[in-house]
Amino acid sequence: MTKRLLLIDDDSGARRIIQLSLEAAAGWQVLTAASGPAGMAIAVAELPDAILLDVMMPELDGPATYQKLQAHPKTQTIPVIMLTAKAGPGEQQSLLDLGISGIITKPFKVPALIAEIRRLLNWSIEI
Amino acid sequence: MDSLFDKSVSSAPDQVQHYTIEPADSLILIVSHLPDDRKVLQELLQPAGYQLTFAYSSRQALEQVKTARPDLVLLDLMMPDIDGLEVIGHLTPDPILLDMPVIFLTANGDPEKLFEAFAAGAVDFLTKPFNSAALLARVKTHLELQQLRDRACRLAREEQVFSQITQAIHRYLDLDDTLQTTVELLLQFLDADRVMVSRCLSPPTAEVLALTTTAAYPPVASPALPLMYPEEPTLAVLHSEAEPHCQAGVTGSAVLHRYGHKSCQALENNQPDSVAARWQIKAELRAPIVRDDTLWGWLIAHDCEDVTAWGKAEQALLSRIAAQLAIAVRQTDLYQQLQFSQARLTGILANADEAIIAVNEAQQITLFNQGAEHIFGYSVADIQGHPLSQLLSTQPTLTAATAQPGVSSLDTLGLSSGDRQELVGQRRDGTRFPAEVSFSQLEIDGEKVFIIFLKDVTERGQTEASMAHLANIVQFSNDAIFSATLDGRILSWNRGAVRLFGYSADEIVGHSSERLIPAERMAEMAALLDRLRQGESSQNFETVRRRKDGTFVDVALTVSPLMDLAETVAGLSIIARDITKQRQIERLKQQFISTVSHELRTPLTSINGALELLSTGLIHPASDRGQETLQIAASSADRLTRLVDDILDLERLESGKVRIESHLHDLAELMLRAVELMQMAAEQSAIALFVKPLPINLMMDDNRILQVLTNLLSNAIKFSPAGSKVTLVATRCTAQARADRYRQVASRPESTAAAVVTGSECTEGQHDVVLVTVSDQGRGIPANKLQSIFERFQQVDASDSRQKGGIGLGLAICRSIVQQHGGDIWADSRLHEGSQFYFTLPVSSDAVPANDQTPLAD
Repeated sequence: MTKRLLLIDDDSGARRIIQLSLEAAAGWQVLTAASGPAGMAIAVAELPDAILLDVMMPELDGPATYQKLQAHPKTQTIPVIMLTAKAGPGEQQSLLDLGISGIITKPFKVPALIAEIRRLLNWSIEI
Repeated sequence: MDSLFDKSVSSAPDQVQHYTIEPADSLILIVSHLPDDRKVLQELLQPAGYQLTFAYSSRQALEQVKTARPDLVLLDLMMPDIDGLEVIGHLTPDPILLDMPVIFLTANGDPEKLFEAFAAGAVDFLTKPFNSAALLARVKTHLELQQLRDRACRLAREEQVFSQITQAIHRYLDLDDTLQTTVELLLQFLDADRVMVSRCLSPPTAEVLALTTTAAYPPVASPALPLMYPEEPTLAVLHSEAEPHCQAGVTGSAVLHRYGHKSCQALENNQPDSVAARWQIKAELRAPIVRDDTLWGWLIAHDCEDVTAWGKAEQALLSRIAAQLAIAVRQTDLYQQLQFSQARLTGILANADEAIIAVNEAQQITLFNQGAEHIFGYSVADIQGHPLSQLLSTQPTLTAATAQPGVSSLDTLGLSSGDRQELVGQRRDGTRFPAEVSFSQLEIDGEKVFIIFLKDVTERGQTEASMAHLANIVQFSNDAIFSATLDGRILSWNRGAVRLFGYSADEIVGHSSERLIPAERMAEMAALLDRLRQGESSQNFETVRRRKDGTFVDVALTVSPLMDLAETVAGLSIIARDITKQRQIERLKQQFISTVSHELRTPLTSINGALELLSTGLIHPASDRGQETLQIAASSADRLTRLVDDILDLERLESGKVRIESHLHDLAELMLRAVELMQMAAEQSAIALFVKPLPINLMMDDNRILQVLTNLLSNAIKFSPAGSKVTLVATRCTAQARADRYRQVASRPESTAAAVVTGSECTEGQHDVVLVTVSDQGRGIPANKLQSIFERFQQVDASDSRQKGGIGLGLAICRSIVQQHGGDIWADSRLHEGSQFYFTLPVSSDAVPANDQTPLAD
């Protein structure tokens, strides 16, 4: 069955490019949301297999959105991978401490992104 | 004699107090040419025990008198050869014979003859036939008289010598002079051949201190002869042998040694180098000189010709003189000790660093040591007899505080005995110096003397001043500086510490420093103390401390050990600096880096991804998706370019690398150009742009002001809803009017109306300004953001940058440009009604109004 991912990112360009990349190269279905609250709503409604969550967003940022997802019984088991442009190891560690599945740093190459998502989520390559 | 010493004659001095004569010791010369008379006299006198000798003629009598030295002469007046009276005449020129008693023997009592005889020097007469009782009585009486006369004579001579020696002792302080005089007087008086004084060195040697001899026996070559004989009586023996009637003070008496031919022979055989042989001694008198119960030396007289030279009388005299010499020795020792201690005292006085000054009761200077000369610059000669007040001037406070009237006459100077006081000294050159002074009072021969000890404490004053200076530095330092014991009790607390922690010194000194340390930082402090105790020097670290009000403050601490005299750590000095501001700056810096990083990486992600999709053929460029992808990549690249440009621009502006190139430009023209540039964007957003240009020539960088205007217009257009209007207006107003306007804005009650003036504060400038306003009807800016929007990356909403194409540096750039033109920039806003951005530009004195322009309507 085709994997369904939810991508939450306020940057429209990045959102669209990631969506196109994952759909074209991995064949996953990618749902998108431009903000934390919007993403939360979609996650609850669609129950994706995994969530890619941008860290730096206005209003509800990545960590705050993750807390909400964890607090909701329907979404608390969905693995979350954070996307961040911040490179500092200290910042990465504090994000990992939240309990997320992993971090992917921007910018990234498409094949590496897909491989990293597979590795972090323990997904095998679908035939 | 069998021994070297004839002990029989060594005894106590002659202290005989009775005057009966010893007949066996008396030699009587009987002179008579009549055998019967001689016989009768012999028969009468011999049984009485007298020694007798006879002369048959006057000539023989004169011979006998000279050789035998009789004690009494019985002389027949009627002699055949020379008349008796004539014999007496022969005797008188000889001083020794002059005193010899002569008793005449006469057959008749011719008074005329008797008179002649007495006139010639006879002492008595006897008439024939001789009456036994009368003869014996007269002989005895005259012998006794003679003996008394001799004794009186000798005593007188002895006393004369003794008094001469005593005088010498009194006269000379130098022992050698006394000793030399003594031996010379004794040589003459004792008719000795050698007299000396030797001093005992380590036994058995002695040192000859004074020596005199007759011409016949010049001094022996080696003066340091052993003068202690093997049989030398020790002092103990001298004591035990001393007769009970020894004169007080004489602990050892003189001894007399006589050396016979036989013993000299033996001495030469056995001890060829013996003293007696080498010094040719026949008789020796020696008296010990005893000082403080110790044998100090000997007074020695030698007779080198007559074994029988001296007797008890000489022994006694020598003992007395030796006792006097002991006094002289003692006196000399005392004198030397006195001289030594005087020299030592003088040395101490002279070399003391302190000034030591003596004054008399009239406060005149009587003593002035080298220390005083050095301190005051006067020599002794300069100052002697001058009043003490020339050197000291009182400090009135001290006088009032310490003077005790009646304690001494120095209380006019504010001094009282024993106290150490600070006074002001005055040197010869007039300079004054702080002096520490104390004095003591002596009374010498009923006269009061004050000894003043004075120390120049200028240096101490300087030290105190520099200590005070240091204390001031600490007290007024901006940093908190305090000290504590090792167990944390606070000892000192400066003003910086009061400011930083909120505790006054009274509140915290003596209390534990733990109240300053948050609980979670206690371990850190304990570890630090351990390191300091182990000898590590100052420790620098950043930590958190607690204020009195319970709030926490970021501090940089420097903790240093305080050493005691034994170089062990006795306490801590702590310097604490408030680093809240630095921390804020660091956080801002970190935030900036994060934001820049994010702002750069986000478009890069889109560009990278787009290129990858297209290059790998996952998406065909010619497809709709391909076009969309290219579009995203291009706009991301645009955004990246603008971002990099803005960052560099702002950095150059703020660092001053780009200079504002001011020239006179017409503001109206710039306003119109800005509107023109933004016209297309406005039309795309269906915004109406209005402008009311102000024709005035201002000194400005036209490109930079155009940048400000387009930035502000661009922002206004972006955040305005379609169909609304954006207005650009410029008015000339006085600085006062502008300030009023600012106050009017700031005093509005709505929270959103808080206006903010950034950059140079809203100063009441002397020059007029041009106020430029950009107004919109957009969503407005929350009050809490009005201030920060001029900071970098401080958009009202971070998503604005994505949606509206801004990157958060525009207003920061505007602010920098306006400030560099000497103007202010601020914003005013009401949520959902719109915002106004204001900036001012100063009107220079040579500003020229340009051509008037009419508002350009959309």
